Formats: sequence, structure tokens, C-alpha cells
Amino acid sequence: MVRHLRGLALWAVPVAFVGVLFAWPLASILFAGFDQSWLEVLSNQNILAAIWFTIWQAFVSTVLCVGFGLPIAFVLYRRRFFGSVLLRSILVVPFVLPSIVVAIALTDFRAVLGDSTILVILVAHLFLNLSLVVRVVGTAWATLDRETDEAAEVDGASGLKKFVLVTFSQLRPALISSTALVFLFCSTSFAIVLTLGGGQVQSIETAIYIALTQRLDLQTASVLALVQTLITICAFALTRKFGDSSFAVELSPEISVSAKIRRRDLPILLFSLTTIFLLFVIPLGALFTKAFSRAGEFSLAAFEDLAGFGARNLLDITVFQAAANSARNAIVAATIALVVGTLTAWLLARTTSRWPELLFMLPLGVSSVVLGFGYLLSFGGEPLPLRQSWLVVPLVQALITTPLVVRIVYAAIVSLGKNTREAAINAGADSWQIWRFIETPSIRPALATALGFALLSSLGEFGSSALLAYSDQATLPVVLMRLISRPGEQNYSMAMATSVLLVLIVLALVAASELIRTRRQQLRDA
Amino acid sequence: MQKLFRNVAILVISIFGTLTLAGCSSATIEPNEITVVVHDSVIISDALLAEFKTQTGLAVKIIRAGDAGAMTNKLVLTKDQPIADVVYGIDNIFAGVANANGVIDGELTEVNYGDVCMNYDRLWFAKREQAAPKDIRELVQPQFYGLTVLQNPNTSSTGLAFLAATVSVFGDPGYKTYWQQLKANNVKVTAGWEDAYFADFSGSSGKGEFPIVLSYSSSPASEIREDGFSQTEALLDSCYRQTEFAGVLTKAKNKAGAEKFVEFLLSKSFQSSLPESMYVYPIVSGIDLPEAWQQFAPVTDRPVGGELDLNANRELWLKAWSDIFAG
Repeated sequence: MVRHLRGLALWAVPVAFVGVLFAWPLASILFAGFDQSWLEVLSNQNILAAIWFTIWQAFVSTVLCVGFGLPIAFVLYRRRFFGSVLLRSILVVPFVLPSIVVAIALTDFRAVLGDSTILVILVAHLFLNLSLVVRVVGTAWATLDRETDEAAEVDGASGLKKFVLVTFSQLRPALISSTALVFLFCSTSFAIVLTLGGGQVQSIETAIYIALTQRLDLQTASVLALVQTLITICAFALTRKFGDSSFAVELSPEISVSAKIRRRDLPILLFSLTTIFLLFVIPLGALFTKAFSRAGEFSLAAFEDLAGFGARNLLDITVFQAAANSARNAIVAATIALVVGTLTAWLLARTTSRWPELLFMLPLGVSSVVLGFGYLLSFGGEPLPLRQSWLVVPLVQALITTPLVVRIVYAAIVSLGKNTREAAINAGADSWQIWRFIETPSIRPALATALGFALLSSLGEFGSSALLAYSDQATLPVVLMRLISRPGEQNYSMAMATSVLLVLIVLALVAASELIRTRRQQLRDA
Repeated sequence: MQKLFRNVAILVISIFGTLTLAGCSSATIEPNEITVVVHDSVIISDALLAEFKTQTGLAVKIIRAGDAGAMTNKLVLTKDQPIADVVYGIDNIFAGVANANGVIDGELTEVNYGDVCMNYDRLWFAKREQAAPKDIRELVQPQFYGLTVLQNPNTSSTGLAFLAATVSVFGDPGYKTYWQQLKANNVKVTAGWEDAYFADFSGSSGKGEFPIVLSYSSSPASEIREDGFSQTEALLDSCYRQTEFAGVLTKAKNKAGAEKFVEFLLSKSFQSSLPESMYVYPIVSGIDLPEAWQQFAPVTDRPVGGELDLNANRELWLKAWSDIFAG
């Protein structure tokens, strides 16, 4: 009984977190806007088309990410070669870039694909989300033992089949988790669809944006927010159906050392390197070229300007001050997300009920524009005048990131297997001991991945920062948008330099975490 | 287990503690402060704010609330618990919405204006020895096939301004025919100004592919090259004039201070800062424009669209536009 109460008390933390920061503002918009006209909204042809487009493009984008992601995860996390750490880091970079910078980086793709804006949107979704599949699956893959690989090599064709079957079943939790995340990210992708679609490709998110910001049409916005919730619930139900591992998987206790690249890996290696080169190296290289040039020549001027306020004092704070704001927000947001997310994942792994898990998926699936307006309505005055505090931005960012942390950590705890846990319980271990001595050590790579993504998604987050951050609280993406919303060469090259700064911060963060991990691995092997 | 329990308790207390603290610190009302809500592109320098403070003793806190549309709609939604005392930057497109919803106490005051005009890349046309367009009517002709980039009126205020300009110039249903011809002439549509100007326009530092872009009459003043001339030029026919207004919010906490701020926006020092800081023209006459502006950013003497009722017709025009571009 006491144990039961304690469990409930622990649940209070994540439930209060999601309740106050998500359910309340969402409910305030729904109450303000939902009325009898919902059927009318849903029978509108354009709205139906937007809903259909949202679902199918998210599905195709997800398939693309998995299709490209699996071979690349294999090459980057299962094989060892010179430069693999750098390549792992490069894949993550787009995660933090504002949509207008993505649009500029993908200019060549846009020129080649020309009229098909939808293809460009799919490419952009691949560009942005590929790393999620690669990292989540890759880190899980890296911890699997090598026996099946080796058996496959010895046995030839039948071994290959076994390899695929066994590996797939072992990777399934990570695969399903990342698939669900990518699907939800793509279905709520807003700025990318708006920018690359020229405002003509209509998705649920862009329809909500236009309804709220241009037409003050709360009815449409609230109906669409409900549709988004429904889509999230369906996506969740599907992951439950396919994601629940029917048999437990034993992990090798040591993180295995990835093998050297071999001749038979050549096709998959070539495929991965070509993809990374075309989709990542060239577009990001284009950003660097633009940042390091002025008046057509190589120049560092743009970077020197970052200490100032832009042409004609466009900015309220310097780009470096904005970088400090971004760093502070990222640390606060990531800490909250990691603590609340890990606690939630830990609780989820100990319950058979499934609805709490759904609760933590919902914030991923609902429009940030709706949330932003909800914050204005909910937190303006008593009892929580949160709107006026700088904390509001990292709190929203933590809210958006927590589901990500939950999925990543939960997948790791689950793939640890029930058997291990049951064996420990039989041996007399309590929850805390299992956590301390069995779970923590084995999910450490997942925790590192989750922390990394939490930091990055806060660094790159634009929607709520633009809406809720006051002038001296502007973050890097916010000043970048201010710079690029004015004509003139200095502003443009400063904006490009700011995006290069973002890129470098990401590379440094990811490379640092990679180095720490490989170092730990070497120590263990020694 | 107990240790974990304690840590979690500490976390809960600290989260809610910070929330409450954030609440308390902002709940105290300071009479010597006013809050101004502006759209994202408004710039008021520290020097000007300091000047306002010496004149009135009032410190100014600035809140940016998205583009003019998003800002106006937020003001409507938070009418009873306003996020500020005074608003600056509502344009003539959304002034109707603000007035109809009783957001503003009294009348809106005109502060500045800007002309939304087509711009073209002089060098691009000179290099090809091709004549540049002189009039928006020419943009549907074959020699300008695939050369123009403009913004979606559903998502961009410049896009909507140009749509209004075409309604004014061609009438109804003439504007629909014009847009059909523009579409047939392969114009590119972007969601926002940034994308059109920097990613697609050849005359900006983005060095895009399109030599004609929908922008402002003042933009050429920002594209002056080493030879001292602007690379771009504005088509001064058929420009739509965007006027921006300021007003005291109905339930403002500090109305007296808010009124002083509106007065300040019309002062000589603020008005003369407008071209440099916000790329717009001062509403008060007799203010000197910067030299580059006199040369390269002349104001048009024949703006169009002033007679239109935007608030009443916007939905209709947008629907007609969307029908043409959806197909």
C-alpha cells in the first residue's frame, strides 16, 4: 500500500508538468473556440485536403527516414572507419536550423526539383529528421553483441536471413520509437511546409497558423487541434500494436566494439556516404560559403559583426548575447526534460497501464501555434503570470522535448528485457536497486542521446521563443530571423554567420558526447 | 528508493517555487513603466527610449508579438487582460479588426508608411540588354516569363498589399484575370518576404534566379554597390501604401503613460529615426530623409488602393486568389 502511494506521488510530477504546461493552455483555446460549427469546418474541402496531406506526407517522410536511416545507422554505429564520428555529428546539424536557413541550404535541391514543392518538403523532412532514426537506432545497434553478425557471415544466405530477423527484433523498440517520433515531427512540421510550400501547400499546421494569425478563426484552429490530437492517438495505438516486444532481448553487458569496415560492406558504405555527401555536406557547405563571403570575396566581416547590433542597430542584443540566452535556455530546458522524462520512462516501465504513455506523446502532436496562443490566454494574469518571465521559454522547450526523452529512455529500459528485471526482483532487489545497479548503467548511452537531443531541440526551437521571448531574451534562431527579415548585404551575411555559429555549436556538442563515449568504451576494453 | 523520493520532492518544490517566484516578481505593478507591444519588425533604439525616459520619467518595456496580423489577433484574444498598455505597428490591413473588436481606446494614430512595390535587378537586365519592366501590367508579357517572385497574400502582408493593389488597378473581376495571366506567366510564390527577397531575388546578397521581386520602394537604398549606385530599382506605379498606427489599449493599466508614448512616436526625433531603423517613411511632414533615400528610395506620388475597404473584402479576394493558385 505504501509502495502504491509512493508510486502515485511520483506520477504527480510528470502529470502536473504536462497538465499545467500543456493541457491547460490547450484547453483554454478549445474552450474559446470549439462550438457547433465543428462539422462545418470538417466538411470544408480545403481543410479535408490539408488533413489528408498532413497524414500522407508524414507517412512518406517517415518511410524515407527509416529507409535511408537504417543503412546509415549500420555504417556509422556498427562499423568503424576514419571520420565516422564527424559524419555522425554532421547528420544532427539540420535539427537546429531555422526553416528559412534550411530553405536557403537546400536551394540546389529546389532548383533541381523545381515545380514539385511537395518533393522538396519531403527532402527537407529527410534532411531534418534522418539523424533521429540514425542516432536512436544506431546507439541501440551499437550495444548489440556481434555474434549474430559473425554467424551471418559464416552461414551465408541463411545466416543473412537470421541476421536480419534477429537484429530486427532486437532493434524493434528503438526503431518503433524513432519512427513514431519522426512521424509526429513530420505531421506537425510547420515552418518547413510554410516556407518550402510557398504558403500554397496546406497542412493542418499551416491551416491553424493562418486561421489564428491572419483570420482570428478560433473555431477552425480548435477543431484542427483536436484532429491533431486524434492523429497522435492513432499513431500511438499503432506503435503499441507493433512496438511491444513479444520476447525479451538480452543485451551483451559490454558495449561491443564496432568492427572495421570490410569489403562486403562496400555497397552499403557507398550508399551511405553518397547520401550524406549530397544531402548534408553540400547544403551545409553552401551555408559556410555564404557566411564567409562579402561582396563576392572571402571575408570574416560577418563574424566580426556578430559582436554588434547589425546594420542600423537592427538587433536589441548582440548575436553573442543571444547565444548566451540560447545556452542558458538549453541547459535549463534539457535539465528539466531529462529529469521529468527519465522519471516518466522509469514509471512507464513499471506499469502495465498504457494511457500514461499516451499522455506524454500528446504534446508532440499538437501545434506550437495553438500552444503559443494558449499560453497568452492562460498565463497572462493570476494564478500563474508565467507569460512575463524568461522561464516560460525553457519551460515550453522542456515540454516539447520531454516526450522525446521519454521515448528514447523508455525504449532503452524496455529493450533491457523483463527477464533481467524479474531475475533481480526474485533475488530480492527493490526498484531503486534495480534502477541504480542494472538499469542506469545499461541505459547510459540512451540517456546521453536523449540529453543531446534535448539540448539541440532547445537550441533550434523557434516557435515559442519568437512568440514568448522578450527583446533582451531573444535566442539565436530569433535574432537570425530578425536579421534575415531586412534587406541589405550585412544583415544577410550576419544571418548566415549566425547559422554557421549554430552549426558549429551543434558539431562541438555532438562531437564532445561522441568522444566521451568512445573514450569510456576504450577504457572499458583496456 | 528514499533517496530518489527525496530528489523528486526537491525537484517538484523547485519547479513550482520558480513558477511562483516568476509570478510574484512580475505581479508588482510599477507606475513608472509602460509596456509597448509591437510587431516583429519594429525597432526603437535605446537612445530614443532613454530620451523618452528623460522627458516623461517612464521606462519602456517592449514586447514583440509576431507579424502585424498575429499581433492584432493576440490583442483581440487578450483584450480583457492586455499584454501591454499601448500598441504600435497595426497596419491598415488589420486596423479594421482592431477597431471592430474594441481593442483600442479611442482612435488609432498614423505613425509611418511604406510603399509595397515591385523591385527589379538593374544589372540583370543590363547584362542581357533586355528592357526592364516599367509597369506591373508588363509582368504578364512573355518577355518576363518566369522572372517574377512574389509573396502569398494568405501568409504575407506584402503579398496582401500587392493583391489589394491589383484589385485597385484592375477592378473586379479584372484582378482575377491579371492573376490568372501572372500564374500562366510562371510567377513564383513564396510564403514570406524573406524567402522571396534573399533566396530567390537576383538583386540581393542571396543572388537568386529571379530578377523581379515584390518588396518595398525603400529596398533599393539597401542595395547600393561599390560604384555608389543601387543594383535595384522600384517600379513606382501601382504601389500599395501600408500605413502603420499606434493606439492606447482599452484596458491599459497605464493609460496616461501610453498616451505620452503615442505623442512621442510623432516627435521629430522618433520620426526622423524611421527610415534608418525601420525602412519606412515618417508620417510627419518636413522630416529630412537620409541621402541614400533621396536618391534611391523615392516615395511614389501615386499610391493605389487607399479607397479599398480591406476588412470587408479581404476574405473574398483571398479566396479568389487561392482558387486561382490552387488549380
